[in-house]
Amino acid sequence: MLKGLPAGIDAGSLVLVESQKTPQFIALMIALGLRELTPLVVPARLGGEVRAKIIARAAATHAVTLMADGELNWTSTGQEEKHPEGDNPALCLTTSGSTGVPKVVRLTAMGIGSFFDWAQSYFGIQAGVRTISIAPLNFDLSLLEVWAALDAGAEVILADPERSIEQGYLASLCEAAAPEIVQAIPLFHDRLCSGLSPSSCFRPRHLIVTGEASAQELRADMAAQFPEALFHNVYGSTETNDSFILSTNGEAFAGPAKIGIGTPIGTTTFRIYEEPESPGTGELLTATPFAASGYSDVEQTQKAFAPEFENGRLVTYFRTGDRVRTLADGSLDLIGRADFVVKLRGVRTNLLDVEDVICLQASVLEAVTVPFHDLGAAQQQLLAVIVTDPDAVVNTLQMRAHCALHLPQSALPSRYVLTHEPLPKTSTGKVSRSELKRKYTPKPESNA
Amino acid sequence: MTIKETIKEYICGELVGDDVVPSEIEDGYDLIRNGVIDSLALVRLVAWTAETFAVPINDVEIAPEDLSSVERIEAFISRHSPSPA
Repeated sequence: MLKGLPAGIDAGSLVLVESQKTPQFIALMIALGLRELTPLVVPARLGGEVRAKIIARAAATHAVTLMADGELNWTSTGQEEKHPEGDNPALCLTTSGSTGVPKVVRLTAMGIGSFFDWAQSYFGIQAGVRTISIAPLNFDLSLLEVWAALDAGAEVILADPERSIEQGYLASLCEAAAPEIVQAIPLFHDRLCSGLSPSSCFRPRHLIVTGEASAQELRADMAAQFPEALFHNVYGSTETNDSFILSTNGEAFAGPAKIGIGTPIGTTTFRIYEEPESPGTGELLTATPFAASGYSDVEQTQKAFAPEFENGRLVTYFRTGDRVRTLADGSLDLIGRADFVVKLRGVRTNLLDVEDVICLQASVLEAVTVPFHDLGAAQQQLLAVIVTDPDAVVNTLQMRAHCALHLPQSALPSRYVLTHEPLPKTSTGKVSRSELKRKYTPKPESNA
Repeated sequence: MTIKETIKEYICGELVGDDVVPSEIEDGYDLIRNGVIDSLALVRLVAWTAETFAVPINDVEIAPEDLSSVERIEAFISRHSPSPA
């Protein structure tokens, strides 16, 4: 498939590909891997500005498009190759980019291989087994349902992501193809379940729910539809792949009003940044053998991935941003997002992503955002405290215009403080957001 | 002080930040697209036009575009104020 590569492309080059749910696209991915090129898989029909940002962030040197006639169309992006030291990703995926700037996650061959070993063993994926892939191939779900399956010699049924929402589509496909393993977000499990008749002969072995918590009503429907199946609630992220799992029979799956995320997968370890007032509850950090080496952006990596020496070996913990509670049996319950994910104007917003966007402005040295409740405003507002280069000339008006250009309206800070002073730090060296809030939150007489 | 100058002074003092001077804001500068006015700021701005120019805000129809630049805010005030300053 890749007989002639364009000039300037070598082993280790990062190649952007737009996800297509076809066997030809899967063949292209495999061919790229065989030529030791790293695919950066992005959603199909990505907006020009976001696509350009991803290419620049990842330093993807080329893009390749699979044309309708099966030919490949290579283009050079003009980017220079840039590899963080000692880091050679086998695959790059992007985060969801809820604020419009997805992060590029670098997955290593070792991490992916470890995940394959676990997934193939845990779900009995081997030659002769059939899985179904419902999500687009730029989603991390593809590592289990497509790549671990193909690696084991299993068969993969490719559902059309754009049709999966249609009533009856998934049910017809599953009844015809009879996959034994079905992984999906709750929405598609609901579509599948509601499209099957109670007497359907479709009997999968494993039903894996991922992405978000499933409602008890859906779990009850699934348990009733598939009485002999094993049910799994899987927790993870693009950065760590799956890290927790709760596996159970239908009765225990359908029973509780809320279902936990279970226990760590394989050799995954975790810790909780406990909140002083509620022991056992706090932000979850995970260290998994499946984890990415980081983001393409070193600063983003340093913010989210924390290497630590633990019992004489280096362990890298990933800050999930999720709040969990330890249950009596030691398993975990997911409560919600930790402090830096907040609801602004009704939309969940990752403050770290907003800060990243502010830092794209050339004069910015450091930026921290703090949510606050303005007097007289019912909704939570966002304060941005920005350290700018003393040699640069930039004011609040320009900073607002920069943010308005790069952030969705819901994520825009309503108050900006520009300073040359270093930001206040806590005893552990982190920026003291509470101090910033105290210092810069609007007073009753000022609404600036 | 002209209406435009009064508006710019209010925007700098209450909405943008005190590091911006009124003369930096051009009359046609899009305040909504450039992140100066959000929904909350819009409510405050409307209330301010009522206080300062006696615009009968309960009786007039207000579209965000009417307040998207200094010149549009001026036109809005002139259209609805009983006695423009």
